Amino acid sequence: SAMSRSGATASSSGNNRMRIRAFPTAMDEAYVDQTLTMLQDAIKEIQRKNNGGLSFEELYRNAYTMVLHKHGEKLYNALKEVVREHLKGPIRKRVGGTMDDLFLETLNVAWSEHTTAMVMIRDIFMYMDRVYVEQQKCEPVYNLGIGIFRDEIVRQDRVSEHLKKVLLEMVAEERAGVTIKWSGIKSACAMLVALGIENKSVYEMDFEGPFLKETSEYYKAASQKFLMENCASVYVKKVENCIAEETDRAMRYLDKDTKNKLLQVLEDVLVSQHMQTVVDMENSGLKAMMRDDKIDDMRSLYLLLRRVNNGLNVMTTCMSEYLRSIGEKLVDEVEGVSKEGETVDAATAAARKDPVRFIQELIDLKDRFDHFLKDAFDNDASFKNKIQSDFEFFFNKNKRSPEFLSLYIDDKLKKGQKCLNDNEMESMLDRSMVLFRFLSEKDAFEKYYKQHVAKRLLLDKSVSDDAEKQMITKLKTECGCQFTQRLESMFKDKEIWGTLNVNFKDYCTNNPVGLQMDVGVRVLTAGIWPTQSAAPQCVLPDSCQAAFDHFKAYYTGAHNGRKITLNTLLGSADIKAIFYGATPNSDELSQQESEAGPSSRDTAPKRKEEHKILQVNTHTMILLMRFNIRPKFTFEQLKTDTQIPERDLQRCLQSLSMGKPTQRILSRKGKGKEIEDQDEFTVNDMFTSKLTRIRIQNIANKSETEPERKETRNKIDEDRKHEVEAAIVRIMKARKNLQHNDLVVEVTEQLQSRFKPDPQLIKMRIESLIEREYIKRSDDNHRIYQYQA
Amino acid sequence: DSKYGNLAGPDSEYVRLVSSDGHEFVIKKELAMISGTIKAMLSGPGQFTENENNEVYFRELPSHVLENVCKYFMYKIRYTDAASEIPEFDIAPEVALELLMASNFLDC
Repeated sequence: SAMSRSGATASSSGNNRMRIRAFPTAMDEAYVDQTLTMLQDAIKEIQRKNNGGLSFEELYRNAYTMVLHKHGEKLYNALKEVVREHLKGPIRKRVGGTMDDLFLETLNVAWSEHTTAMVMIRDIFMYMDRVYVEQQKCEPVYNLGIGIFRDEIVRQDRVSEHLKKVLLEMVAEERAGVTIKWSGIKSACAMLVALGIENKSVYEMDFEGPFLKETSEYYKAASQKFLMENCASVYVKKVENCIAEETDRAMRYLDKDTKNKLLQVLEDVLVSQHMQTVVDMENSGLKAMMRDDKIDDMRSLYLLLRRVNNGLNVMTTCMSEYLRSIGEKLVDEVEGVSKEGETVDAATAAARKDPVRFIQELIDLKDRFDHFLKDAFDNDASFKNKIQSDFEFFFNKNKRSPEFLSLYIDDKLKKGQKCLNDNEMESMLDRSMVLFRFLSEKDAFEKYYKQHVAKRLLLDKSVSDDAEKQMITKLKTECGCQFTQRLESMFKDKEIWGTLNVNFKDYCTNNPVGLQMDVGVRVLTAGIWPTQSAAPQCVLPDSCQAAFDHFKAYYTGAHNGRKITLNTLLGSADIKAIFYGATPNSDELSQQESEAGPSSRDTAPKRKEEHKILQVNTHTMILLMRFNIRPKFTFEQLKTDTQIPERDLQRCLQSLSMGKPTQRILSRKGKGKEIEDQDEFTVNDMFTSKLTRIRIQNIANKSETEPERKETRNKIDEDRKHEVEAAIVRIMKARKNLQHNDLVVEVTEQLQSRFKPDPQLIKMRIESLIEREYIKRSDDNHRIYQYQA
Repeated sequence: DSKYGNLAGPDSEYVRLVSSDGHEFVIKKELAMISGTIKAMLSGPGQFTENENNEVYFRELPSHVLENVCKYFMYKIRYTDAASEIPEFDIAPEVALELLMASNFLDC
C-alpha cells in the first residue's frame, strides 16, 4: 500500500508550498490515453452545456493524477486541442454564418457560453494550473481558453471587422436618435477588453480607436453646422448637451477608460477648435454678452472653456480688450486730457466730463466687472488679475487721475451734497480705496488729498468729521502712518479753533479797543497745512487790519514764542451792503458802506434802497471795501491797491460782475472776454434780490488750472527727489557696498508703494549724493558704490 | 431538524463529505470551503452532481484521512486570527503521509 513506500519525498519551494513528487509507479500508456479521452469528453459535454451528470471530483482527481505522474504536458495539450476544436468547428460555423442582424447577439452568446465553460474547466484543472503551469511558465487554463477564442473566432472570417462595423453603426444610429439595444454593445466591449488578457489592446485596436476617430469626425462636421446656424450661447448649450450625451453613453456601455478619452476628443473638436470663433462672435460672443449683462451665458461659456488648455486665456484676452477699450474711452473723455497737438473747441471742451463723474463711472465699471467676476467667472484668479492689471493700465494713463480721485472723494465729503447714510458712506470710501490701490503715483494723490482736506476744513465744508476720520483710517491701513500724520495734525489744529475763539472773545471783553467788526481767526500750524508757494500779503482795509492786530496781540501773549502771519486765501467775510437804486442824475455814482454810517447823499432814489448782507471770501471783501473810498476803480488800480494776486482778483471780479445776475454786485465797463487793466468797475446800485443774505459764489475751477498743476507737479517732483535720496542712503547704509544696477532695483522696490521712480532720476540723485560725499565710487570698480559714514 | 439548517438546495448550511469507505461526514459548508477544491466544486458556475446534491464522494480518500481533514477545518476556523495561543494540530504519524497527499489534493 501507499503507506509503506518511503520513496515519496517532499521538497519545499520558495514560498512554503510543498511539491510532491510522484510515486515511482508508472502509469501505463493505455491508462493515460484513456484518462485523457475521458477528460476531453467531459470537456465537450461542458461545452455543450451538458455537464449536469458529471462528477467534479472524478474529473478533478483524474487531472490531478495525470499531473502527479508527470503527464502534465500531455494533459495541457489535450486540453488545448479539445477547446480549439470546439471553437474551430461548431462555434465558428455558428458565428461566421450570421453576418446579419443576429450577428452581435450570436457572438455575445458564444462568448458568454465560452467563458462559463472555461471557468468550469479551469476549476477542474486547478491542480494543473497550480503546479504544471507554474513550473512551465505557460499560459494558465483560463487565459489559454480566451486566447483560443480570440484566434479562432474573432480573428477569423473578418469577424472583428464585421463586429466593428456593427458596433459603430449602432452608435451612429443612437446619435441620430434611434433607440438601440445597447446592452449588446456593452457585452461586446467587455469581451474585447477580456480578449486582451493582460491589457486592453484588443479593445483599443478593434473598437475604441475607430470609435474615437468616428466620433471626432462626426463632431467636426456637427460643430461646423452648429457654428454656422447658431449664436454663441446656443452653441455653448449644444456643446454641453453633446458632452452630457456622450458621457452618458460611455457610462452605459463603454469600457470605463474610454470615457476620458472620449471627453478628450469632444473637448478638442467642439471646444478647442472653435473657442476663438465663439468668443469673438459678432453680436453674440463674449463682448456682446458683457455689454448686455448676460451673466448666465457668460457663466456657461466660462465653465465650458475651463475644460480645455488655453480656453480661459482666450476669454481673458477678449475680456481685457473690451475692458480696456471702455476704460480708455472714459479716460479720454475726461477734461484736461488732450492728445498731442489737438486743439479742442469750446463745445468739445464743454462736453468733456468732469472729474467726479469720471471717477464715478470708473467705480461703476469696477462694480460691473466685479459682478461678472463673482457671478460668471467663479472668482477665477486669472480673470481677477487681468481685470486688475487692465484698470491699473488705463487709470494711470491719465496723469491727472490722482487729482481726480481726490476730487471725487472731496465731492462726497463736502456739505451740500446728497446726504449719504453711514453704510453708503463706508461703501463709497471703500470703493475709492479700490481705485486708490490702482494708482501708481500714490504720492501725487497724497498731495492733492491734503489740499482738498485743508480746503474742506478751512471753508467748513466737511459734511462729517467721522467720515473724514474713516477715510484717514483707511489710508493709514493701506499706506502706513507717514501718509496720514499730517492729516491727523490738521484735524488737531481744527479742534482747537473753537476754544481759541471763545478765549479771544473773553480777551476782547477784557481789553476793548473799539473794533468795528467781529473777527474769527483760525490758527494753522505752519508746515502741516498745504499752502500755495507764498501766501500773498494783501492790503487789508484798516478796520480789518486792526482786528487782526488785536488777535495777534492776544495770541502771542497767550503762547509765548510763537509767531503768526495772516493768510487771506481761504477766509470768508459777511459784509453789509446798501444798494440805493439808480438816481436820475448820477447813475454812475453809488456808495456802499460797511457797518456804521448812513449815506451822506440825499438824492431821492428811484426805488427803495436795499440792505443786503453779502457772504464773500476775504479777497472779495478787500476789493469791495475799496468802493467805500471811491465809486469807480480800474482793474489796474484794484491790483495795485489791494495787492491781491492777479488771477485771483480776476476771478473775484468775474463772479461779481460777469456771473449770474443774482450776484451782479458790480458793473463792468470793458470790451474783451477777459478782464483787462483798463476795465472800469462800479457798484451796481440797481442790484436787487429777494434774499437778504446773498452768498457770492466764485467761479471756481474745481480742478486745477494749468499753472496750478505745474506748480503741484513741481512740488511732487521735489518731494520725490528727497524720497529717492533718502532711500539710496538707507540702502547704502545697510549694504555698505552695492553695484549700480542692484542699487537701482532696490530703490525702485522700496518706493513702489508710492510711485515708480525713473532710473535716470535715481542716477542723478546718486551723482548728487556722491558730490555731497554721502557715498562714493569704489576705487577698483567704478560701477560699485560705497557708503561713507 | 430546523435547528441545524438543512442539507438540500443551494443555500443549505451543511454539506456531506463521503469517504471511499462509505463514511459520511456532514459538516458546515463554510468549513468545507476552506478546501480550494471543495470550494470550486460547490460554488463554481457549473452544475455538477456535487453541487446539485450538496455531497461529494471522495473515491480515494479513506475515512481516517477524511476525518482528520474535517478536524483540520475546525482547527483552522477556530484559530485563524485568534487572540489566544494556538495549540499544535496533532497528527498521528501513521496518518501523516496520506494526510499530506490529501491536503495536496484538496488544496488546503
